[in-house]
Amino acid sequence: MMTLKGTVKRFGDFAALDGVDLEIPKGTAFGLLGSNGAGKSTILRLFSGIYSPEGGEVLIDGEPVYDNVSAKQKVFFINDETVQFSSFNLIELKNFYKQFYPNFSEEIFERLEKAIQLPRDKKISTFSKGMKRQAIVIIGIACCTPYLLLDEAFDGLDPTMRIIVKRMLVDAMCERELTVVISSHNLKEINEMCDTAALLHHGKIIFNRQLDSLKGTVHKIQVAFADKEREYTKEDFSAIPEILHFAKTQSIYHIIAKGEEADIRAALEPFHPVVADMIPLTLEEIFIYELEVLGYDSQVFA
Amino acid sequence: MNWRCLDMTARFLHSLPARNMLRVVRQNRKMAIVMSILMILSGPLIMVPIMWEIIRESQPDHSYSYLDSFELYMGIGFICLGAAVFMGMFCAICAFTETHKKAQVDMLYALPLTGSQRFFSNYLGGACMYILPYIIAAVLGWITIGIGCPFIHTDDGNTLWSEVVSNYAMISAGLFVLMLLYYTLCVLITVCCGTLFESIYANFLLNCLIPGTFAAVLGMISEHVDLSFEYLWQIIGFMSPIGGLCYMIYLLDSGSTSVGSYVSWDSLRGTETHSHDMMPNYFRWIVIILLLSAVLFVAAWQLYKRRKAEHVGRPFVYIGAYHVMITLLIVLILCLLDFDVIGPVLLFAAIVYFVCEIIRKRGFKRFWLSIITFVVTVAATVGVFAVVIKTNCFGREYYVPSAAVVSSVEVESINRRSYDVDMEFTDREVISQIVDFHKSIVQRKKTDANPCVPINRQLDATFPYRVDYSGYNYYENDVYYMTPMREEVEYDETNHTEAVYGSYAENFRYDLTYYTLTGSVVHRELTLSADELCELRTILLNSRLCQETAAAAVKKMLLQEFCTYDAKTGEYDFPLTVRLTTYNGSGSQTRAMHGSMESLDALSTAYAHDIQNMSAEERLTAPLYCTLGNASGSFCKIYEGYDETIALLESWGLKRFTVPERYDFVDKENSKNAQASNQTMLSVRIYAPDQWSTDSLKYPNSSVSYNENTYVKGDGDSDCAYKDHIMLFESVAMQDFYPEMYALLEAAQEEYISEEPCYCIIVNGIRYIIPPKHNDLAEAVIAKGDLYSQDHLEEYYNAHASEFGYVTSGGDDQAMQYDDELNGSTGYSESYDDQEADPGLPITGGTAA
Repeated sequence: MMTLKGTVKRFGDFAALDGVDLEIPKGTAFGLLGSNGAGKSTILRLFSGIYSPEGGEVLIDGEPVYDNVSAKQKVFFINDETVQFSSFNLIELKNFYKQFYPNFSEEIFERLEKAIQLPRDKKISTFSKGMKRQAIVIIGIACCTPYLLLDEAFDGLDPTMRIIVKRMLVDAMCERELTVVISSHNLKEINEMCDTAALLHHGKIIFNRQLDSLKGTVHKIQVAFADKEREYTKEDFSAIPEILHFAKTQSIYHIIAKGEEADIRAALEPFHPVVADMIPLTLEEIFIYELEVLGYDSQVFA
Repeated sequence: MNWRCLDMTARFLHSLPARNMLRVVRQNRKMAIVMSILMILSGPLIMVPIMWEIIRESQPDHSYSYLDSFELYMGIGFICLGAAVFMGMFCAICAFTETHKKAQVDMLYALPLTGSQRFFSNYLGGACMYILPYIIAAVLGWITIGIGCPFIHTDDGNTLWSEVVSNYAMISAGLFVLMLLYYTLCVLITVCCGTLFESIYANFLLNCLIPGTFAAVLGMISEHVDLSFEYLWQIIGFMSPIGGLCYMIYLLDSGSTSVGSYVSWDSLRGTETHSHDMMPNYFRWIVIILLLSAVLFVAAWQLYKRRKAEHVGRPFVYIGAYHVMITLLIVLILCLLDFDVIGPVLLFAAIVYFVCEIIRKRGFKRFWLSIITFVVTVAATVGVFAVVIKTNCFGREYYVPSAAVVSSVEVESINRRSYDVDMEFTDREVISQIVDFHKSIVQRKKTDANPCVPINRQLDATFPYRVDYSGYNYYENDVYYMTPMREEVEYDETNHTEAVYGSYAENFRYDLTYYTLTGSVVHRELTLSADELCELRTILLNSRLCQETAAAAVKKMLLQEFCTYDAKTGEYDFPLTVRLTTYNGSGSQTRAMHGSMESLDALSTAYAHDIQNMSAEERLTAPLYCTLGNASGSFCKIYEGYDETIALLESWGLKRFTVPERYDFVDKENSKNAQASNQTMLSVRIYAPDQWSTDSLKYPNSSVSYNENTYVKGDGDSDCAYKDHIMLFESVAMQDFYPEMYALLEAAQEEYISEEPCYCIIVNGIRYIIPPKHNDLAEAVIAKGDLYSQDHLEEYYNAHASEFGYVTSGGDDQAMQYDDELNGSTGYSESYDDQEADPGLPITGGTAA
């Protein structure tokens, strides 16, 4: 299990993480969502032992990670840059990481490398962005660490390759209970890959839930009332547990609300809705509306 | 046991840090290859020519030929070595890429290594790239020595062989520890920086600034406080790799001298006697450098451990490094420039400071803080300097160790002149006398409100007025003419300080080095007045060591100069030649006799007695009697106070040269050979002091040394007139000048130390002092010179037209043309052509070619 306990990470005056608590159980595909600068990459770097926390704890299987060889050997971190590998070719890069990760599997490497057919003897600097990403991903998987951290891992991959890489990851998760932590702005991918996700904003976790339950608890309601003359306000629906968004288009009210479907319908009932459609939200919509509540609103630029 | 070692090695090589170390080497393999080539090439390129030369010179029959381009090979070798050594900075930077490359941080910090493991393995990786090639080069050097040593021919057993081995061992070990220090310092600086640009420029600047600034500070302090400059080596030798290199060279150089190893035969001038073995100092230095490297290593390690991954990209992760660098830079500027011009100095320092601040801050953020820091830095620097100077370096200047704790004292003259020595005295009585003398100097400094200023400074300022008798020469119709001119130059302080100080402004400065029984060393530099100099010389020259050394030096000089050593028999090939020479600026005159070893013993013994028996007054003012030896080679000076020596020489028929003999300076009227007098050529200038009032001068002195022509300086337009070449005294003019010049040259002394301003005469580029009692002689020549001033020139020649058959005309161009032709035609050279007589008979009357 990967754990953050009251973790604080500051960069000068800026608090990238402000007392974050997070638990990622083994075998989970965990997605980290968040606005730019929310602290997603910081969490990954803390888990990989690159950063040391200013406060709190960062643990892997109960061990602090920073400056701890045994904990670090359980983690493989793939960051969003590949320039550092430019001087290697694929085999050199494999050999480099093989030295440091004792569970490195040549067999897995060969299998994955065969599947995507990367040139072995060319410098990685000559690879395309997608090929570089494929190279480091297959090495990361071949290192056979219990935890694999991917920061914007699917950047630059073409759709086919995305599917291949995702399959590789899924296979690895199935084969050896690999825990994958993915930080991405591509919510579709998180949606597809992850079973759990956390949303970060300004160094704090907004939510941390299983995606299925998350989707079931946020609803988009399109509702029209019999009394067309009356102007309804957000406050009129205070019975709804949490309204994330409230807007009116002609006579139709659009409400994004958190809570169980039944509770929301019950809260609308007193106003005699003529129409009340409950539409399930995509993860992207949840992301946008959640952050809108926190003032991170795309409409400010409209 | 061996298996265990191998096992441990194998285990280490399979460990994660070792893998990271190999990663460092692999990632930087191109640089490692270049450096290895440079380093490995340097070994044989330097050592093979050296060994070849040693072997060649050791052969009695010179059976080995001279290695062509010997210096060139060595030069290339040293360039390769220097370049490879310099690259240590880049090794450190490349070994710690994660300190300045953001892209590398995630990759390297995420590896399963602790910070310490990463540091050690990076350090070792860089060291492998840097030090290993050097070790290979050193081994190649050893192999070269091993191959070459059996071919070295030595007369005295294995001395030379062991000397080569020990010197090479010391140099290679010294260079090794310096490289280690340099590399470690570079690692420390790199760890303190966060970008590649800052890493490079901080490494470069700090490596230069640490020794440079301390040297400048010590130099500046030693200008105001009489602490020995030896302190400079003592301090900067342990402060940085460059300083260490200077110190190593200094130590090796001081260790290479032995009794009389490079006596220049000007009395005891340049004589060095060191009973002090420099090896303990050398080993102490190596140990300290190793310890210093260890301290820097620990500092770098701790800083590396504490620095965070996110710090990469900051110009300076540890801002202290920047402040050290900028403070050193400002202090250096303040030291190097003159405090008398404080405005421009401060402006320059401010510009440098603020440019560095803008670079560091990448802009003008919180610039007011930079201004405050600058003001504080400058104020602190000036304040510290003021305190150090005002307190005489916290009283250190006045500390004199007790004679009881001094095991030996080394006395070294800084400005080498006659009698100047670098000798180490172990005699208790001499030590006691020197300590007492030193104490008296300290007491004088403490009590004298106006302490002894550098002696010749005021006297130099008394030579702004020049009467110049060198003139334009031109040639026409086979008649030589001289157009003497009188030139009065207005006093120009700038020109004079430059011209004169560079030549002989610094006077009578001695270094005293006390070696105490506890092993500590105390260095002091003394600036002495003429009286004090005399007192010190009396102490030194009365010592048995000085006399023995002087006698040995004279003997060795004459043997080496005029006898052939037979290596087989170990004896000198007599007869010995004792030669008196004189040099008049354009050629030398000699008298010689052939003697035996007994005559040589007698001469050296007499010489040793004479230097002891000379009075204090004579040591300052005794005229030169003659030089003994070879005027163009090694010689020693015989002064008129050397009664025993002179008596011995005269008994052999070797009498001093008279003025006419010296200059081929013949009185035409009394000469039977009138034609000879026509060829007499002299270039004469007289410098006259114009400030005859000496009330304000405490110790005005003048002192000149042999052939110090640099004093004679052309001043632009009339350059050709001041060349120290040949000046033709036309026969008529010669007649007019003869009695005055003869008397003046008779009185002129090459060395004369006086408390009164003196006339200075320069004849053929050689400077002489006219003792004050002979001022009238100088003035007589000057007065006569008026006759030949430009105003009267035409009148003069017209009056003598019938005699010359020519009326003067012509210009500068003609004069220069003539000058060239004259130089070519007369061909005065410095070589001598003595007429040797049968062995045992005096030989006289040799003349210049």
